[in-house]
Amino acid sequence: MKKIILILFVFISTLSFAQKLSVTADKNPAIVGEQILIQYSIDTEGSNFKSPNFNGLRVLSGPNPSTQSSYSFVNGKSQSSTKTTYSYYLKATKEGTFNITPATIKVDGKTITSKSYQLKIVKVSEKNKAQKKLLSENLFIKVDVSKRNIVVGEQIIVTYKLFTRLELNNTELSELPDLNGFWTKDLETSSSFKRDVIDGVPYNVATIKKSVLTAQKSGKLIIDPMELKCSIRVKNNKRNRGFFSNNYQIQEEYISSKSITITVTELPTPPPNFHGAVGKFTIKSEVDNTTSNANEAISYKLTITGTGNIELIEPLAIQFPEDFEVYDPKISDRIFEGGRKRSIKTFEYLLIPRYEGEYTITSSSLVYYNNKTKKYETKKTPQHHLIINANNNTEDENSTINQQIIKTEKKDIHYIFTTTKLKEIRDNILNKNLFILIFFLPIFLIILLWTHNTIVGKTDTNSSDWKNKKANKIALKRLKYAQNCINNNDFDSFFEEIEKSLWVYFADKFKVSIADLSKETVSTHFYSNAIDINTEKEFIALLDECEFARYAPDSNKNTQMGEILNKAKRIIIEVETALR
Amino acid sequence: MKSKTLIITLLVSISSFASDQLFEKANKAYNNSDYTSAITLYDSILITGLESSELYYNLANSHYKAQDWANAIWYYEKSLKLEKNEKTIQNLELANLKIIDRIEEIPQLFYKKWFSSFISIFNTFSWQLISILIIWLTLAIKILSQFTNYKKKHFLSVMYSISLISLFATYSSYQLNITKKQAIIFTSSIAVNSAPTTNSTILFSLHSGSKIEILDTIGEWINIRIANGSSGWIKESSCKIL
Repeated sequence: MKKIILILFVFISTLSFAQKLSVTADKNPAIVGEQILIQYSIDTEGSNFKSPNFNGLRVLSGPNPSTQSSYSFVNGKSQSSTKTTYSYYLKATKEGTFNITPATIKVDGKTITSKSYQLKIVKVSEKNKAQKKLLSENLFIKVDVSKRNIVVGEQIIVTYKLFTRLELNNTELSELPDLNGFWTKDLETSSSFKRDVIDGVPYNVATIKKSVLTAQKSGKLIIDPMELKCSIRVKNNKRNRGFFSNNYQIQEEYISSKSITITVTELPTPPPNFHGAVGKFTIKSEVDNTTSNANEAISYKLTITGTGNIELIEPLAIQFPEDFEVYDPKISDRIFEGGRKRSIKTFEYLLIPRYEGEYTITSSSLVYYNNKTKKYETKKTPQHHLIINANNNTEDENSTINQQIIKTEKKDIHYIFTTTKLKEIRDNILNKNLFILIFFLPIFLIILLWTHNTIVGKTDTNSSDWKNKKANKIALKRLKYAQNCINNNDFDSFFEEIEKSLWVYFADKFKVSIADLSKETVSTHFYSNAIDINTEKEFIALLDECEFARYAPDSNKNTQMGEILNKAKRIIIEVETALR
Repeated sequence: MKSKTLIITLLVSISSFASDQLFEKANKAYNNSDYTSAITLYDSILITGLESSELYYNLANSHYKAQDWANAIWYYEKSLKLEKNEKTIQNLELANLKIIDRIEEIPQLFYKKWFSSFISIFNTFSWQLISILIIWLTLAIKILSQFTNYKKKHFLSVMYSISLISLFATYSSYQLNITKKQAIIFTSSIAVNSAPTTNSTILFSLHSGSKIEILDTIGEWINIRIANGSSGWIKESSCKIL
């Protein structure tokens, strides 16, 4: 029983011990500028480690996780343990007390939090400062810049040199300069030390880094400092050195260069086909074969030689004939010192002319900004005339007819007019009122003419033809109902209608009241209007006939009706004509 | 009096001669891709009070090449007002592709389309002249028939209907080209309000180069309508009337 409790106790204790995230520092307090190692460790495997916040301390590296597993077998008892450590390398840049917030880790789904940690950074003592000063006199990086005021696209060389009077064991670049706004090309440097004397003090000098920078934008561009980690061998001053112990000890120091500001000015307004070339160049073009056969390759070589940002020059826009198949150029270059020295860049185009004929490769031009003369300059390639003969290969004869469909893919506006007829600016239009006047005057005249015809035309006795027409019209109008009766075979009402029509016509015509209508009035009115006596007789005879027909049924009324109608018509026409 | 008129005609001929030279000079500048000086040269012809559809067309082309789309469209439209030309219409289409706004036109009914294409055969002035000519001809025939017993009545009625049609066409052409006011937006972006006040609801926005029709004016505000039928109010200063 006791045993079980003991075992349980041990188990619990180990469990509780395992669940603690401890934090340690290799030095506390530390001195400004020193490197500090902070470790978070837990005696089990953990995951999802969350970094603490190192307020104001610079993290050089980390978190660097590491796991240690051990397995021991002692006196028949086996034991295994795992340890997980996350380490940070920090650097204090200023003095003070820094509070590092707790870090957390997840173990078996549980979140374990460490304690917060107080790190004290103290000032460098006077002695230490003097030592530092001594160090900075004996070990420093010098930055050389070939030019500080440049234009966009111009190049400068930046050289970092390490000057030392100490014994260096090892150097390591800990921070590369950030070169925002520059296109950088590193040049090869020899890392060996050379002797140099400055102000009578001898130094060992090594070129750490040498780059050609091409400014890509305007403004004040900053070349950030470069930091170097140096391991210096120093003599051990401590007396109690052991027999085997070394006389020297390694001291690590971080040194950095100064930051440098380069003023980059914008180029003056560039000509249209300027593509950023700055320097001084010459251009050359060659064609290997000016006389060739169709479907045989020709090489067109464009060579740019000169100094400047030659590496950044892109293939020129060359107008090759439409019938040529053009492949992407093969670009080769030989650049010296990133273009600071005379370099060569070649573009080699492979052309395959598809049809015979005479072709011209027009000259292409390279526009660049000469930073010496501060002007844009243009260099042109010569024109090349090519004569392509027909290919006599049998292969071609067998192939099907190879026609080209003319296509226009690009769209552009039509060309301008070259001639014009200029006129004075005015509203080229008739005034609205004037238009109305001119347009409606003839209409008015036409209406006038028409009314004149209708009014004046009646009294115009000369035109007998017109008169007859009129009389006919009136007769038809008067005998309209009688005509209707014929169409309906309505015998009884027909004669009545004829009679009525004739009387009404007479009354209307001679302005006689209905009460006065009689055969006597007919003869008096006809007489006074000088109408033929025969017409009068016929008129009266017709009236009689109608009266008679109304009461005497007859078998052939049908034919009679037509006759009577015609008679009535004739009489009315005669009266009308006579009255004119 | 006579000498005065002589001097005036001489002056006019000199100025037109100088303008022709200016036109050629501007064309040369255009050929050398110097579009800004081409524009100033063409403009100097306009300042002398002369115009032509070709001049407006060339100015529009120069503005197009200088990538000033609003001006290019304005001058193409101006050129089309003077004379219809296939080249101008095609260039205007290209220029309209360059601007921000793409206004979908309401499709017209087929007879309206026929009618508008019939009207656009002649400009308003020609239509006026044609209708006047026809009505006077009709009058002449009418008078002739009065005195010579000319009996073709049908011919006269045909003439009457033709003159009626031409009057209608003239009226429509007048409405379309003279009464209807159009403009091009010149401000890079403008909000179209629902009422002629700045604090009214913003319906949509227009960008430079879009063509608008002016329906009404109240103070500095104009009531506009675009080709898709939407309408609203904008300030007059943001556009240039054609």
